[in-house]
Amino acid sequence: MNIKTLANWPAPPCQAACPVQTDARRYVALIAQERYEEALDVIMAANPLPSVIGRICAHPCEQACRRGSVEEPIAICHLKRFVTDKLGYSDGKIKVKQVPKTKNKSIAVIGSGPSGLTAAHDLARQGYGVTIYEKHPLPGGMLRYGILDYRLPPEVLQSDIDSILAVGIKLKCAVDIGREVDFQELINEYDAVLIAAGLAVSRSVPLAGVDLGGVHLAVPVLEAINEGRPVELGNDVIVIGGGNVAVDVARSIRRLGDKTVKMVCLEARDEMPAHDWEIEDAMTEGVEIHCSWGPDKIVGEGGRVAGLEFKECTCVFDEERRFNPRFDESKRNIMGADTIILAIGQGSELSFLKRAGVKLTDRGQIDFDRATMRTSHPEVFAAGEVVTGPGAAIGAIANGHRAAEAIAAYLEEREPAYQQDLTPVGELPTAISGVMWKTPRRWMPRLEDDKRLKSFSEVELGYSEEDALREAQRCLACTAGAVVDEPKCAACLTCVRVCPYGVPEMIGDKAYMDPLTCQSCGICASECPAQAITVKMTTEHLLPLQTGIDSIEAEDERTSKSPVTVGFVCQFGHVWGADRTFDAAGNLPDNVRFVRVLCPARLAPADILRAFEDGAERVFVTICGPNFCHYKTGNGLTERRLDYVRSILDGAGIGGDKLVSYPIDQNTSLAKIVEEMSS
Amino acid sequence: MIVASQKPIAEIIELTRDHKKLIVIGCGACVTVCFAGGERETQALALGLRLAARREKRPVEITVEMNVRQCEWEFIEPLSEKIAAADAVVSTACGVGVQFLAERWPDKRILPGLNTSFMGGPIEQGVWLENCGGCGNCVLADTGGVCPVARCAKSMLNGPCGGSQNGKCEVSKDIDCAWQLIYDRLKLQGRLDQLTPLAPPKDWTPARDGGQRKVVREDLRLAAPESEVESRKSEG
Repeated sequence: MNIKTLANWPAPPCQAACPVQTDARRYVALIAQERYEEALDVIMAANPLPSVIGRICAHPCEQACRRGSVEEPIAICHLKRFVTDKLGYSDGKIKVKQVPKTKNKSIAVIGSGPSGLTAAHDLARQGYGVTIYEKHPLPGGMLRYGILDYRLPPEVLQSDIDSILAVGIKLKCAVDIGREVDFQELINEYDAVLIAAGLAVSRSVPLAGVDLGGVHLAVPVLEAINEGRPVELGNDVIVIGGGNVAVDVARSIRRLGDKTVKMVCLEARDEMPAHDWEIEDAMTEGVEIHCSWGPDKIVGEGGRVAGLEFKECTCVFDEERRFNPRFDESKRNIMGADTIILAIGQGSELSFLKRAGVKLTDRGQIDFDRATMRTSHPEVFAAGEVVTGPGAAIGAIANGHRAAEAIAAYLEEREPAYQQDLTPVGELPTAISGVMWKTPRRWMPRLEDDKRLKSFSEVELGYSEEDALREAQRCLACTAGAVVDEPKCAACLTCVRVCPYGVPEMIGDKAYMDPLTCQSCGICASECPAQAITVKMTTEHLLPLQTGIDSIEAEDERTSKSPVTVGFVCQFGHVWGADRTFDAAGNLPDNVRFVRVLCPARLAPADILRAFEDGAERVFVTICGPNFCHYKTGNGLTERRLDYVRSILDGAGIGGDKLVSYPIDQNTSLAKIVEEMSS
Repeated sequence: MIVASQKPIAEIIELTRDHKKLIVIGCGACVTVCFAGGERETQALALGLRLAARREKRPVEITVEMNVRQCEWEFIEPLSEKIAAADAVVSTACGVGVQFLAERWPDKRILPGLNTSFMGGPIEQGVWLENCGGCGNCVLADTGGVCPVARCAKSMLNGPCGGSQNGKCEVSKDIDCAWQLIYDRLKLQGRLDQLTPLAPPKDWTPARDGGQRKVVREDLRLAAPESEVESRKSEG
């Protein structure tokens, strides 16, 4: 790959893979520097349900993460949850400001699942009046009724929804559009209507014995369990289906007492549509999984289920990857059961739309144009699973954003400006992944196996701060690295010589760093004698931004009795110290200012001298211990560069001893460093 | 390239002590590549000067300008207004650039920020070695590509002298004896016989001894030289 211009600079793979293009690279970096509020802002710029998505996301970002080729991908989803936990967003501790209604048009949204909530949120924030109609007594759609508390506690969901509604959205629950309120009324009352009703109806299957007592559909069972209503279940349960809903039903029933739960599905284990991690959790919790079996008939006895007869499924998909199962009728199996739950897919009941002139297809689905998000009725739009089919919640959120933009464009009589796909950077070459510093992923602590089945308590317990910081440090900061300002490049070859990864190359007489391989450390930028290199990620580390020091006079006045000490602190080293985190800063004198840097080796001499110019009397730089540097050669380069800066400080009469470097290890603490600096 | 190094900052502080408005001008050519007067070093110098002034409570305004190549009239001309407004200029170009500024703005004090050392190149990152003495009459063809003018302390043309010890120069054990290198190189090439004839005394007039040197390519000149104009007049 050879990309010479910023216009087609590749995106980090996490962001390109995210349906809402969350800038995960950026929020992970902000977490690594303990800048949690800023991290939440980055998350929420793309996603109004951060606490929910931090728990249940299918995280395509992690599947795309290039750290995966080093050892394991970054736990991006866990880190999102950590921010919402840490700041109390998921407890409703952050109050959202209402956005005044500034536009004289209003929109009705049918359904309060992720797509409906997102579209409503986008439109309300633009000043439109928005009313959500929800069929159930409580909002959330499948987030509430399809996902059980052990994955997503209802209070967490409610907190995210409350924050969305607080923007100024009206919510009308327990209103069944089509039955209690005629759809035409909505069209008459509102300027636009969005159908985001989801797939709330479980499909049945024409199977012998399906009418027997003890046969249930998945969604009503999940709804009942979620609402705490009693469900009549036996002790020997078979769940038919291999998707996430089937897994959710199976895991839920295991929590309802000492019941045997078997999942039976057509697919082979590696073809199952449910997420691997969900299947593994289910197995840990004692759910038996039986793959490659198709139900043939439900065996009854006295009007009730007695068992299920299967035949072997030899192949689920045909050559064109269409669902077309084939069976070996000779291989059969019978399992005893007193309860059977069908989790073989969901649909929606939309016949009420026809009366209002919204066309349906022959298969009963909305006649829908994905390009415009419109139905056949000019004022009626649709979004979410009702039109996309089943998928991840984050996909429904993306679709909600798109619908909101379609509606706003329609109401404003302009062309919609939809999110454009990003081009992700290519795979990390093995030459680079092979030399990367390796550190295992931090897995989130989980409820002990033997406690899980006793309640619906959340299984994933959240990260400690140390977990989160160390996990966030693992990020490779893909494509956030060096960019050459070509007219300034003096072709000195310094970058080619100093890069720990051998990335820079000369193209003609100009240096070039391929974003495919650059690790964003910034070493080349600070060494470049022409200062012709900028590092996309780290330009934010300027002193005034992080410390508020921007005027010598003001600073002199404020600190006339306590001179300011500025510490440049390595993003990677700081958690290795004895006091671990910047929390320690709370106990430090208020004249100490920290500037978080990715690696101190990216500080040019002028960056350090500016700290003195900006009012610091003393400066310290933490580097990692002798046996560790995230970027291999950063420690030595930093030490040598500090010597150069000291020579300038000596010459200027300031004294080179005012600049100190501290290797951080388990025995050093920031508090001790500051104390030593002051004595 | 021309290799230079930064003057000790204390010396530049002394040179600039009496000036209230300074402009420090870096150069984007040779001295950038040898880490003496590029943007990185020039910014650091300016910051050092500001810190010193503040410590001594001297009010002074110091700005930094970068220039593509200070040894070209067209490149330095756009600095005109800024230089006019300054009390003094610190140039972090080589001695050539300093003199170009001084020539162009003769009423202004133009101070050198660097010590210009030699023509040479980096033998490793951060280490530069002198290679060429600019003698005006190259002998490298006879010496295996090792310059005795620049690399022998005595610039001997028939070396080595008696001070060559174990391949090192008697001036310092860190300096290779150029004639040892010449011998080794020619031996490697099977050309030791080249050393047999005595090199005659060198004509040093094309070197510095002939006074300030000038290279003229008449075919490149845009204005006709005076002499030509005069002779045409007399012919006509």
